[in-house]
Amino acid sequence: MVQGWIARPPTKRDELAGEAMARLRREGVDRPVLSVGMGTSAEAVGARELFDAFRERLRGEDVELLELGSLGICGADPVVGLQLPGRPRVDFGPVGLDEVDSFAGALLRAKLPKGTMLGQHGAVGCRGEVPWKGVPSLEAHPFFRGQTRRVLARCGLVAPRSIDEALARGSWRSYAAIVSTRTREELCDFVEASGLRGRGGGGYPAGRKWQAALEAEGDQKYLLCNGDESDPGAFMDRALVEGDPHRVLEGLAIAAYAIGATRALVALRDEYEIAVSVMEHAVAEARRLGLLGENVLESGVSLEVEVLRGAGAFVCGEETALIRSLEGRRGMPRPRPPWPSSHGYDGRPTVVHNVETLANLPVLFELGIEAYKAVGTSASPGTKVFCLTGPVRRPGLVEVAMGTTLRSILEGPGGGMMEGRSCKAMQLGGPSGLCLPEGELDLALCWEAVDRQGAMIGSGGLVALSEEACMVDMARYFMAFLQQQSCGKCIPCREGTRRMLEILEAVVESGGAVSPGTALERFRGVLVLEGLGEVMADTSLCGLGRTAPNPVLSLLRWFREELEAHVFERRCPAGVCPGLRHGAREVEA
Amino acid sequence: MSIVVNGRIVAAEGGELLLHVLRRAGVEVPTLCHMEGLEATGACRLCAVEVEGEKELVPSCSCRVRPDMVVTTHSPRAVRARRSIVELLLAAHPDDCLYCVRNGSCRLQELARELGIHQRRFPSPDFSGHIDASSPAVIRDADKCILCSRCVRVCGEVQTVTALDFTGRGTDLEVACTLGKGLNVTTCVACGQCVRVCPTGALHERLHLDAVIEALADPRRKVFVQLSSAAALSLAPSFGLKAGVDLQGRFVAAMGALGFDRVFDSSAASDLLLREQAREWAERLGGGKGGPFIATHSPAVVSFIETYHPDLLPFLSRHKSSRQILGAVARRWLADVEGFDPDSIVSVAVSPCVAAKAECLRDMVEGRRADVDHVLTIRELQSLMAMQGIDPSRLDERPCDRPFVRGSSAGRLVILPGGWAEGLLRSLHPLLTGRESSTGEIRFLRGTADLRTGSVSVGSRELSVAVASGLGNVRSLLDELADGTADWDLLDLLACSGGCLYGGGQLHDFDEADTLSARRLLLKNDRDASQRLAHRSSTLACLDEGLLDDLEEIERERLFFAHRGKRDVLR
Repeated sequence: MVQGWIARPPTKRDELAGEAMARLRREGVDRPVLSVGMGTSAEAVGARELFDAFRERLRGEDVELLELGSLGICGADPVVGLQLPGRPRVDFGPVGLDEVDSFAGALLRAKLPKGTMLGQHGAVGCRGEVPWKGVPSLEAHPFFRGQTRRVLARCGLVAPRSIDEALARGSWRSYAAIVSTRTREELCDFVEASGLRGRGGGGYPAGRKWQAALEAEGDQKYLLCNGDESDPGAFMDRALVEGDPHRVLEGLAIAAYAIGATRALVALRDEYEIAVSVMEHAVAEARRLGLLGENVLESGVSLEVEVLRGAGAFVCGEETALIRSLEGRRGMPRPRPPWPSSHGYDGRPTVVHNVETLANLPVLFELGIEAYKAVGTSASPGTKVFCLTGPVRRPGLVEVAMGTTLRSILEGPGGGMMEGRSCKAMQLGGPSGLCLPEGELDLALCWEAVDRQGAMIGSGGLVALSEEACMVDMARYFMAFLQQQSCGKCIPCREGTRRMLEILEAVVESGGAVSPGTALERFRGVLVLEGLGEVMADTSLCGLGRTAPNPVLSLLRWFREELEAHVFERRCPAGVCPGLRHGAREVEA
Repeated sequence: MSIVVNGRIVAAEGGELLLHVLRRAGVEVPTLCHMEGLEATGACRLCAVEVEGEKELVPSCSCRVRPDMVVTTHSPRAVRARRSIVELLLAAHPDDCLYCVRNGSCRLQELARELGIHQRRFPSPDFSGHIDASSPAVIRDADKCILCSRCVRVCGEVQTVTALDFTGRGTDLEVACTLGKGLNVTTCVACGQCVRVCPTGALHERLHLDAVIEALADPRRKVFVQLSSAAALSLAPSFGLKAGVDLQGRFVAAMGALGFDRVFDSSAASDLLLREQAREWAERLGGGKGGPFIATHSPAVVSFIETYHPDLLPFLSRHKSSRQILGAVARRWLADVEGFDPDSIVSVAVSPCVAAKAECLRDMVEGRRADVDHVLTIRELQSLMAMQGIDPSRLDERPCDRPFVRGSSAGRLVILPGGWAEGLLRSLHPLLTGRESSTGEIRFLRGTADLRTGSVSVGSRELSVAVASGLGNVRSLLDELADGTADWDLLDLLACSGGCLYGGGQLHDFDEADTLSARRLLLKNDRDASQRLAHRSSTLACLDEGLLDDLEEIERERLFFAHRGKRDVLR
């Protein structure tokens, strides 16, 4: 039934199918439904055990139990949703194992349990659902209020392992229409006109990549999905694949069709076990329904998708390095040009897109260019997912319009810093991003403003740092990460990160493995940092090396006093660096 | 089209590499990792230049020129970047330059000097001190490695041996052998190309120099040396002698001045081997046992076949290399004819071949070690001559000693790819037809491509011949042979791309133009030579009369034939 519906234009939906679809969307249910938001971050705080306990407790009862993806409000994990017949779903979180009994009991009595309530979902009203009185709307929850949820819209609502549910919520509809009615050139023009830019870090216009790959000669073309997410503090790719794999897969299929690729590879980080299994399942389901494979929906278009497990190397964010590693070689970048669009995987024309970029495509085709661009700035249309972490009240996945300021994310969805803490800085864009001090938080998060500031959005990691963080130690930490993750191929990156780390170690340590040297030596080291950083940014082979000096540059630019206290007074004002004096400068009596 | 370089308009072709345009225009930007003919790897970043409109510096090795590009090669920004990069390399490199085998010929040293680096901005770290001396031919000093990737690329991409590759990441990146073991248990065939391309002292040949000095100093020893014609060709320019002029006689005199008791011409040994191999081949052809005949005087190719294609060993000529044959025959000659005490004889070879050093340690004949004790590369000979204050430009020419006085021009051609086949065909001709060949040149055997095939008529026979230099090309021929897609009558194989003039033991700074004029000279000499047939060389007549004619067949075999077998690595 589902398949038949797809082939027909959506306007001719018949009533029966419409009703079945509505049921799959759970617009009104016949029996109570209890759902648990699963996925890596929820399971890390016991969602799996909670789900099992509910299943045990509700055995034999007429209740539907559902495993869903994450809503993104990680601080509230595990999130439990309850939906009673005639009523909209109400979400709670965090829910503990000790609450299983009271939740189950309330559900069976068709009541709402006591617990930390997040809110009720919007009453869709198609079957006369009656909203709960006195229960706030989830959309009004401060975590969701400031967000514009497009790519995340279905995360936590759709069952990730059910293609029927995905279809009922609109997945694959754009693709089905596109393969039968649009030419490749039209698609490339469409995406070019939409201004869609890559979400993986560089913000490169997607349409331009497509055009180049479409025009490139090749007996075989490839579409690569980069889900080898390796930024510490970034997990949007994982959450997207775990929560709504068909959105990503549909985007992949659209892009593959646009460039004429008949083979696509989804590279997922090896550690992302759940994401890998969810994606593999989704690919198999889509294949079963004829959405992938040979002669898709009788359009003559073919696409084979393979899920590959990447080894989780930071440098593989660089597309040429990712391609090499997928080919079974060392994940090392190579000079561009030749660009992957003409000379990529297996030497064939290839387009590499990040998971979030692909997830944007179904959104774009659903909304159309005008509506898509209505959100965001003119040079950065659409939304961006950020991963907000650190000592904030509500950490999690936040999708906002491009151009939203750091401060409004921190204070809106994030709810500000935790009780008793104040914000010292926010680290934007992963280890090689900048640490922006509190005074710079009005920076708008769109490529044009961020570029002007010399910062980078990267994949969208956002770490709030409180007064308890030592910025010198943070710089050392990030530099250590970058030094380990450097592939070692080009000299400025390999040797530069090593020397920068050495200099920073001498500044934060008081002995042991690294000799702190004299104040003069440490000072000379700091002088070297600046020039070295410029050369690394100017000459490194790939983005990793070019941005590697950033942790040091933000230190020099905004936290010089803190650095100087370490260098000259051997004092760590934040009280972090062991062996150094802590606290504010002592004034001699 | 044209581009602007440092304010000057320079002609260029669309899509050309910027580096090539710069070099042609006489603008020198330094490079470390760049290798002509291979795809740019972009590792060293030294060739980075300023290009108008680009945010970052642009590496000229991987940048294709566009019309009206505006390039500044030595702006303060570009030079500062280069200096910083070299400073970073120096900070990770040992300082014991004065004790280094590459002192004076090190690219890193040269860059430090060119860029005027006189201040140490980074503290020097500790070094492991680990040296992999497990291979009989190639020594690896990992501390001195600057990770430029040249050895890895020549070993993998050109030679397809891949004995070396990168392991580890970031600061832990290093060039290592399979499973972190020594070079001796890898697929390494000791071609020495890694040594030739190494910019520093991280890779060098096992030095036999001290052993030779010791032998020369010992009055009880009778030391003979066989001098490859490549030596004079390669070393001449460094003594201010004109490249491309035959200076063999002066270098023979130099060898005498160094104290060698006998100096032999190795091309005379090539004559001997060409004659013997022609007989072997004729026998095979006559006996109806057709099949390919693999003729190579390259010990690295022999190891390569033993490693990768033991199935083809039956097609390999049974003969030793000419170097080993000379060693064996000369020992016999000096003992039997000249009456030297056999135990006092020391056999030395001067050769551009690094694999010849490994060959010294092989069992040549069952239970009998090789007949060359020490091999000096061209670099080692240069060093020995400098040490002894010998300048061939100031010496009078002299001929080599009996019996290996002077080879035919065919015997001298063998250092060029295709040269061996040409000499062999000339000597095969009378065996098949009963008359000498017209000795006309065979065009395709004289080409410069690394892989060449063609056919040659000898009498009524049409023989197909394939010539390959560089082990990657050798491999493709052997693979075709093994899977039956091709069927050559003769294969002339050399391990080093371009032949022995590009051997692993050649000078690091040997100029390409000088190499080309050396090649031209060899071809010209053959054209003008009075004796172009190896088997008619006067040396052979002298040898036959004085020694070989009196030998039993079994003794001849001991002198000429080598033992070969499947080579298992990683044991």
